[in-house]
Amino acid sequence: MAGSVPRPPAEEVSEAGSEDDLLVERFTRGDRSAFDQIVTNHYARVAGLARRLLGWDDDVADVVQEVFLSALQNLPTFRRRASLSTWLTTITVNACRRHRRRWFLRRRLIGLPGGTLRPASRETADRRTSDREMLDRLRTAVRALPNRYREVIVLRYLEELPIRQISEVLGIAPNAVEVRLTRARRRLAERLADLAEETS
Amino acid sequence: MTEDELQRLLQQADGDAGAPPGPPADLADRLHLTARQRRRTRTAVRSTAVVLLLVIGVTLVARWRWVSGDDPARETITARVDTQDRQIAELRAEIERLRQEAEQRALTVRLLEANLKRRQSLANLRRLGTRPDLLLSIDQQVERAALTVLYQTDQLCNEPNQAESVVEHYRQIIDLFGQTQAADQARQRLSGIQKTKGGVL
Repeated sequence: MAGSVPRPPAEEVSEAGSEDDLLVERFTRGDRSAFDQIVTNHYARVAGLARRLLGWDDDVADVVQEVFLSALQNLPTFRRRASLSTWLTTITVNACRRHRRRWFLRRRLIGLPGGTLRPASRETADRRTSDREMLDRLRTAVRALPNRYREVIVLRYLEELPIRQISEVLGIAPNAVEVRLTRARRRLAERLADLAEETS
Repeated sequence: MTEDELQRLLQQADGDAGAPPGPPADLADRLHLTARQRRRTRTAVRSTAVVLLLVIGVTLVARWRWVSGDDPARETITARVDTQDRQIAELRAEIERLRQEAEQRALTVRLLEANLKRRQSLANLRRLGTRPDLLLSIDQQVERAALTVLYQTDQLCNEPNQAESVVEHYRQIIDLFGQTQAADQARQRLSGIQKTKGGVL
């Protein structure tokens, strides 16, 4: 899968977890370079997640900086109830929500034209031949989902987080995560009905 | 579309969108710098808020003490105001007293003036009462004049050829000084002359 963010295997995750613990420990003892190491280790994952949550927007540098700034300010109070990775994911989700809220607000105040989603139609689908166009339509459909549905789709299918971890990140019950996932899939299916027929 | 197919398509779409841009070289330094700036800003904002709260608190406490009357400054000012009020009341009472006194004195002056006028009137009356009787004096003067004329007429009787004039003079004395003793004597003498003339004739 060209260009996608690499996802570490389970054993690497546990090793990374222990390394994160050590880095957090060093940081709380006043070692500034430990945070630099945390940024290096998690930048790609945080940037990838932010990019997906914001609809594959390339301009995610500000959001990523916000995420790590928030982490830098709050790391001394990090309780380690969840892993550093989960904690950073939570911060990223919240930062993306804020970013989108600000974007919508700015668009409403300044009157910038917002990107409108073209509904998929059978006529246009017939003319669509290349895979790239199909994938572009899928991204557009995901981008058009409400925050709560897009978040679960991204976290579950792209970040491949288990339901329990998603519920930790979003601060909702696992059942609520599954309900959201079901509804999000239904929405996507409605928007991409023609695409489903093509793939089947 | 199954869940696995959806996941596969999503991962393909994600891969197709390309990888996110790599981290900027100076990201860590920038993060530390921005964090420091934010810390300073936050500290400044908090300090300002604390100062504002202190000012508001002090103002409220001062106001509360003022309202409840615990403030020494308020007591001083209240005492000063009380003193001023008392002084004003005293001055007003003094003015009223002086006004009444002035009215009393004006009344006394008016009474004195009236008394003085009365006394002057009485003195005038008294002076008038002590003056010699003018009528009596006039009567005396008239009597004296009549006697003088009578005397001169009596002298004229001794001169010759003056009988007519003497009679005329006696008649004039009787006409002019009718109520005097000289007029009575002139009547007697005129009567004697007339008797004498009748005896002669």
